[in-house]
Amino acid sequence: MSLFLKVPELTLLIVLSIACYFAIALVEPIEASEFFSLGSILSVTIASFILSVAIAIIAVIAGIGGGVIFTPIVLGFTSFDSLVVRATGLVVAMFSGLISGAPLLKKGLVDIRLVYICALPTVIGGLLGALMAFQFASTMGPSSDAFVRMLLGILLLGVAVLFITGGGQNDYPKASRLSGLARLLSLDMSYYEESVQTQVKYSVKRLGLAIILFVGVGFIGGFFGLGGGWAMVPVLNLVMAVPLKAAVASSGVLLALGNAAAIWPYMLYGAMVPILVAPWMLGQVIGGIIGAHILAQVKVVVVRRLMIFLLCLTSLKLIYRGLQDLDYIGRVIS
Amino acid sequence: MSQDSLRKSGIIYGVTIYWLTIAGAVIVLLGSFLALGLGWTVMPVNEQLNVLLQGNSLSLDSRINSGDMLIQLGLGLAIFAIVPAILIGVPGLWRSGFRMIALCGCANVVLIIGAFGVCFASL
Repeated sequence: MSLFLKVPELTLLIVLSIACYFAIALVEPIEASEFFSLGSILSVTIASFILSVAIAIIAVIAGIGGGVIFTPIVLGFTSFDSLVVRATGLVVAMFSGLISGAPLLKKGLVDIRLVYICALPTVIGGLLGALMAFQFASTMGPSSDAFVRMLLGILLLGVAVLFITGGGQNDYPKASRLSGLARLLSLDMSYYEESVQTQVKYSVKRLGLAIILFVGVGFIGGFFGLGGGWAMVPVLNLVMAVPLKAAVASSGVLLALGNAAAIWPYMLYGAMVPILVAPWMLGQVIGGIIGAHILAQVKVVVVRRLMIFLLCLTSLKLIYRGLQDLDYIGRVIS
Repeated sequence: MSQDSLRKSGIIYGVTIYWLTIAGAVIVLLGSFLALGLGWTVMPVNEQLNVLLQGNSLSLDSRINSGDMLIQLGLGLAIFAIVPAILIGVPGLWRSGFRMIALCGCANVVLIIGAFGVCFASL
């Protein structure tokens, strides 16, 4: 409750959202078709909004970006065109990161040097991935959706394995002398760790390797509409030796900046359907603010387990759907 | 090199994006009301959903006088918020000796604007 008093803009947004959907229900301008009644359109919109708030909270706490939850679920369980889903997925991935940046930067958990440097390769990779998505759709024709579903399913199984074997993560890597590119950019950093009430110092390592990895992460995020946050935490923590908490916080901020270029092809080439995206964007903004404020108090282990379950379930469904759409399953059964 | 200027630049970046994203969200809400509430859309909402659920794509000609366009405007404002957020903090970083970081920030701005320009020009 105190959060709503402490952050009046959050309360205002929630009140405005409720008022807006309530007004839409009262006005009833949409004519019912043979597929949809006004009630069902409004229900889908409100359900999308509520689900988006929940995804944003989880995404900020886990530092993964909501796209990795949204895109596979919607692609696996609905018949929506994959480019439309991926475009909305990028919005879901970006917006919780955009809004959660301010509180995390104020607390000093995120270092702006890390964000600007790592965003560069991510932006380039993301843009290439987004452009490749359109190229792939026009080259492959109708079967491109099936391939995308199957490839995404396989990729997500890999991500689930990454989360399961994530036990090797370094909570507080030791600070050491800087070398190479990191030395040139003076990437010695620190933040105040509230839970142990001490200043944690760290030095960025293997920056060159991380830059190459970020191009790949950006590409996959832009192509599949996942955002790429799921891979940013491991790269920051395991490759660059950034402490886990700072890596989680930086990942969200980096995700927003990293996808800012990749989103344009989807938006300008007509893959972004405004009435579909609107409730997801609003949910990400509200959920992102809530997530950033409760980040310090929540047990990340619980979120991780939930994520692993969702990833396994949706990846299997995606692979099944992909095989089904390519007629492999029908052929095997007959 | 001052750590204060780094922190200040980070806060400027975060706060600028925070408020412009909230402004974008309010515009998106208004657009949603116009589109869903007053039916002010390029294509009727139920038809849009029919097309989408059948797995087809939509090529909407979003005009300035529709709820759809207002939603796109809100989204665009929030995404473009990154540009002023970086540019406001860059002079401070440059003056404090973090010149490479300032240049990285500017390069990000160039890429974001460039991507928009190239996609817009090829429409």
